[in-house]
Amino acid sequence: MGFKWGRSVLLGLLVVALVGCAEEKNITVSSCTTALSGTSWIPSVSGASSAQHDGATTVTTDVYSGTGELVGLAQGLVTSKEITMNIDMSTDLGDNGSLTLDATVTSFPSSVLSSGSAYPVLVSLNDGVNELVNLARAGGGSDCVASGLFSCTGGVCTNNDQCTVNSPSAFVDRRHWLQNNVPSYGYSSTNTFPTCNSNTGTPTCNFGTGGANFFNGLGKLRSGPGVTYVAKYILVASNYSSLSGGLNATLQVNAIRKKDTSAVAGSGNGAIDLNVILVGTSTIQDSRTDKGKQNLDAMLSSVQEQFNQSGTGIRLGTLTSYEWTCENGGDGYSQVSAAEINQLFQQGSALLPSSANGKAVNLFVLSSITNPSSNGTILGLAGAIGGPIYNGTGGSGFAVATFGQLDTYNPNCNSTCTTSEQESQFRELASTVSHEMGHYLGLNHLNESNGATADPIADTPECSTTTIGGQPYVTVSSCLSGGSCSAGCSGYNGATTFCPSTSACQFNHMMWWTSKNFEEGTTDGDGQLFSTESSAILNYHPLVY
Amino acid sequence: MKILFILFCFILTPSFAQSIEEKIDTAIRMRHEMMPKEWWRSLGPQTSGILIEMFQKNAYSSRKLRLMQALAWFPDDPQAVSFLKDQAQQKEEVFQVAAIQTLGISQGVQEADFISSFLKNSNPQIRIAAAETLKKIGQTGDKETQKKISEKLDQWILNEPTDWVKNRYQKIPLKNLVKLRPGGSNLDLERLIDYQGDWVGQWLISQEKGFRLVPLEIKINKNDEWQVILSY
Repeated sequence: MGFKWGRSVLLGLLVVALVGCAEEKNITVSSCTTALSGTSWIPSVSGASSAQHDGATTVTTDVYSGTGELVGLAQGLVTSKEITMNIDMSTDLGDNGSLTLDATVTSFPSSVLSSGSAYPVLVSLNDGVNELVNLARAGGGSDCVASGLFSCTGGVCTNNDQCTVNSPSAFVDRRHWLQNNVPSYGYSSTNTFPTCNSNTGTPTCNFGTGGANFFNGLGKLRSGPGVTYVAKYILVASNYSSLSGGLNATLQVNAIRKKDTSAVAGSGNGAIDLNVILVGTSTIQDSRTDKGKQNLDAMLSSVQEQFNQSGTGIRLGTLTSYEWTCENGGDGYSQVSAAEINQLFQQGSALLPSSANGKAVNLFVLSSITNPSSNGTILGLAGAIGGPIYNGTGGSGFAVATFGQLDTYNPNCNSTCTTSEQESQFRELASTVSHEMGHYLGLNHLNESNGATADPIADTPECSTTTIGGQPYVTVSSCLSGGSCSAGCSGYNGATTFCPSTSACQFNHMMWWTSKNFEEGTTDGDGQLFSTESSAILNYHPLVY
Repeated sequence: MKILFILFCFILTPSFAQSIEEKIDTAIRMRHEMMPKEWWRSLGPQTSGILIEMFQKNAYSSRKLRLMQALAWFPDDPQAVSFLKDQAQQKEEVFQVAAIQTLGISQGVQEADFISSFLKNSNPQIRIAAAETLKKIGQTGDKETQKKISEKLDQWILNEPTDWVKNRYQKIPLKNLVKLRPGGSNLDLERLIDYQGDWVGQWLISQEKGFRLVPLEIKINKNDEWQVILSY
C-alpha cells in the first residue's frame, strides 16, 4: 500500500510524535477544550535559508555589569550616580560594523519600590575621541543635571525640554535618544551605533573625524587596536518622580559588536532569522489549514522580496514557527489591547527556548490589536525602534494582526500564489510585517502623522501636511496639492525614487505612516521601499548578519 | 428664492459627503494610530451614516473594523446603535468583539443588558470582551449602576469555565508555563537534504497486545518531496 505525502505532513507527524513523548509540567492554564486539528505550519519560503547569512560578518558579545543608585524621573542625572563601563572595541569592525548596547536592570528593589522597574539610561558614550550621546549635563543650571529627564507635577510627568542632546550627537534630538533609552514598552534600553548620518540641522552627526558621515564608506565607527569606549548609565525608576535613601540596582549590559567588512552597505547584507509565534487557538488553527500555510509562506516571501530589494539586500534566514496555545496562555493575547502589548512581548518571548535567545526577531501573529484610547484597530506594533536582542523584555518582538483571516485570504491563489493573485489587503498584511520589522531594526516613520517630526535620515523625504478636520496630516494630498511627488515632498532622493506612476507618492517607502494604497494599482515593486541610508540602519542591527 | 435654496442644497450635499469620505479614507489607512473622538465628531453628525455606507463597500477587514469602531463617537444615531448590535451577532469573532466594545463606549449602561447576554456565549473571546466592556461601563456609571454590574460580573466569574478568561479578567499574570516547542523550521527542511535517497526500515505499530513491525520505505528526492511506502 503506498501513500505520497507532502513533507509537512510527515514532519508534522514526527513533531506530534515527539511532543507526545515529552513530559509536560507546570501548566497553569487548564480547561482549554478546543482540540487543534491538522499539522503545524513549517515555514517554506523560496530563497530563505540559514545559508543566506553573510559569511563575512561576525557578531560577538561581551557582558558587563555594575551597580548604581536609582534616581526618580524628575531627578537630575548627576555624575555621582553613573555606572561606568569600559567597552572593548579593539577589533576593527570594518566599514559597516556596529556596536549595540543592550542594557537591562537585573535586580530592581521591588520589596521597597512596589511598582514598575528601572530604565538603564545611556547618558554618555565616548569612543576615545568623540562623545557620541552628548546629553546636556554640564550642570549649568538648566539641563539634565539640574532637573532630570522629566518634569513631574501632581503625579503627571512631561518631557523636560531643558534636558536635551547637544551637537554633535549620534541622536538628532532628544526624542530619538529617548526612544532608545526610555522605550514605550518594557524597561530595556537598546542603543545601536551608528544611528544617524545627518550633517545638517541641530544637532548634527558631524563629529569631524573619519568623515562627516558614518554611512556608505564615508566614515565608520571608531574601532581597532587600543580603542576602548566608555559607556555611562544612570538607572531611572519608572514609576517615581524622586527617590531618596540610596536604593541600588544592578545593571547588565550586553555589548554586541558586529564586524562587517563589506565595502558598501545595502548589498549582500546577509539575512535575518525569524521566530514566528502564532498566538491563540484561532490563529493556530487557521495556520494549520492548507490555505493558512500557503498564506504564511506567501506573506514571508513578500517580506523577503521587500527587504531584498536592490540597495537593501537583506534576506530571510532560518524561519521557525511556534504555536502559543491556549494551554500556555496564548488565547489571552490573541485579541490584545495596545496597552497590554508589552505583556505579550515579555511573556511570549520568555516562553521561547533558550536556544532561540539573541538570534532571531520575534514576529507575533495574532487576530487583532486595539488602541483603547481611540477605540481603533492597529495593523501592527513593534516593541521598539531598534529593538532588544534578547527575549523576555516588554519590547522583545513585533506583532501583526490577521483579523482572523489567515485561512481565507487569497481565495484565488493557485499553488504558487504570486503577488498578482493575492488580495490587496493580504499584501497590506505582508507590508505591515515589513514595516514593523523596519521599526524593530531601527527605522522611524519618515514623517510622523502631523508632519512635525521626521526621521534622522538624510536621504528620505520630508513632506508638507494637509489640514484634515482642523489638524495637519501628511497624506496623499500632500502630494496631490502640487500634482506631483516633488511638490509635496522635498529631499526625496531624485525625481522618481519614491514616486510610483500614480500620485500616491508617500506610499512607496516602507516606513510611511499610512499603508500603501494597492487599490490604486501601485505594487510592491514601485520605486524604492527603503532608501540607501535606511538600508544602512537596517544593516547595523546585530540580528542582521 | 425657495427653489434656489433647495437647488443649492441639492448641489452641495453630495460633494460635501464625498469630502468627508476622503477624510475618513485617510484616517482608516494608518498603520498605528487612530483619530481621536474629537476628530471624528468634527466631521459632523452625518458621519455615522457615511461610516456605515463605507463599511458596506470596503473590502479590507482592517478598514471595515475602523469604520465600525468610529461609530463609538456617534452615540445619538439609532442607526449606528442598531448596526453595532447587528455586528455583535455576526459570525466573525474579530468583528463581534469590536462591535461589543464599541457599543459599550457608545451606549454605556443603556446597552449593558444586551452586552451581558454575551457573557454566556460559547466562544471565550466573546465572553471576555463582554466582561471587560461591562467592567468599563461599571467604572463610569453611578453607584447603583456600578453595584449592579459588579454583582453581575461577580456571578459570571464564579461560573466562568475557562481559566485564561478568568486570569485575564482578574489580571492574574501567567507563570510557570511550559516553554514553547518549535512547530517547524525551514532549517529542518535544509537538514533533510542530507537525507536524500531511499530509506528502508520497519514501522512500529501499537496493537492491543504488544507491537507489530511493518516494512517501511521512504524516498526523499531533490525537491524535498517524500514518498512513504508502508507494506501491510
